[in-house]
Amino acid sequence: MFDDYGAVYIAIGERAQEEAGKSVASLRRFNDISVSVLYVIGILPKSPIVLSNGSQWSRWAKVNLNNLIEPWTYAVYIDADTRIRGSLMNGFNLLKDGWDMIITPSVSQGDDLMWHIDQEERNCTVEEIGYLESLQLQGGLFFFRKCARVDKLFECWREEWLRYQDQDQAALLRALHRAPVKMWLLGRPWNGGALVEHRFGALR
Amino acid sequence: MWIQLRALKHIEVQGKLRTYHAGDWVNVGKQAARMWISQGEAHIPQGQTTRILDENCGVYIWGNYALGEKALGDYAGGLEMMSGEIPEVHWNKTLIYNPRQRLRKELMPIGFHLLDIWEMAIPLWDYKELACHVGTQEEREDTKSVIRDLRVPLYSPDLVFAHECPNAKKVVQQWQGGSGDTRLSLLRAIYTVKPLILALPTTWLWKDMGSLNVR
Repeated sequence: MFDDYGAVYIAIGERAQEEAGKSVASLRRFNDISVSVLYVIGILPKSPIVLSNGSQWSRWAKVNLNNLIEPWTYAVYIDADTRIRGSLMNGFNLLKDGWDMIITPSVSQGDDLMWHIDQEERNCTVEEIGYLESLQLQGGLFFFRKCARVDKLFECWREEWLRYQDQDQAALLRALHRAPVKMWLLGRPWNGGALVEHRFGALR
Repeated sequence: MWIQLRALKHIEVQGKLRTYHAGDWVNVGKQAARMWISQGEAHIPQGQTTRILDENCGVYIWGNYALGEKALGDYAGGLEMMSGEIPEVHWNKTLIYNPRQRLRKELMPIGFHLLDIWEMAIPLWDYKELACHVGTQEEREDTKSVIRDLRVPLYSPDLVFAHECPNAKKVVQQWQGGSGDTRLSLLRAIYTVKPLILALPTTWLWKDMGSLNVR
């Protein structure tokens, strides 16, 4: 085990915890790293608004991840509804090479742009980032490092998510527009492919 | 086709009628889009067009100058242009454009505007064709020795927005100094320099597979 990097899951609710357990087991088959599973609401930073369900708590946890990974410098966030089929170490190596965040584009591009985002938030996002055709990012698995730029991004992500308190992807786009980071993209095998199977919707 | 409504509309989505209001972005068929636009009930906002053309922006046409000038259409009159064999970041905001690729002119001002925030903005080449799928074995090995993992998307070498800053200049220099598949060369350069780069969706490109020749 190493103490400067690890994997973090968010698993609020029985079903999420069950899925996370299976994902962690699959991760450990191929990776010798520390794992943290956030399943207790009490350890999360206090929210300035009342969060009404597990889904909101999960997203609040996600936008606070930069403050929840101590003592690690490098972390990978992994959705509970995944199964890891190989080594993720290259993701950490990419961070150590100097990238701030490593993430995969979403499968929902083009005509499926922000399909799952509320119309009002979609309009706002387009208005504020200044254009419609932006690259959608899949926030179900991403690597990030602890640094000033990433801390600023997460700060903006929290502020943006609190505006609508729903999905986190459009909030991430608005946050990146305010606080850009050095971002390297991964291909589909890393999220929804051969390396990381993603059982989208398993927790809904 | 994405359009922004200027009037209330009821649109069928997955078998259900939904109400959209003025200001909402909706994705409808081209025929409906054109009709509503012609009736003033929708539009495709151009945003920052005029402001962008007032700044020190230019287009480096990497290829046939006449083709590039034609592709730029009305913008050709308002933007500085140059061409040559080896692209460079010549202006405060530079678009390196290869006219073998059709240009979506309406996105050009947006690309320049993005350079207010990012050092570079480049569309992805494809979502499925990754670095592990292109180039010779030797080129892939060379690339892997730099970027560690080839299961990553490529950037398009045909549409590169670059801000005049040390990182963007280094990327372009290293990219042009590389050999082999130009997409892999660009990827290695980006990885080595690590600029603040915004990846854009592949829809920023018109892809005519029949005319592609990336070497």
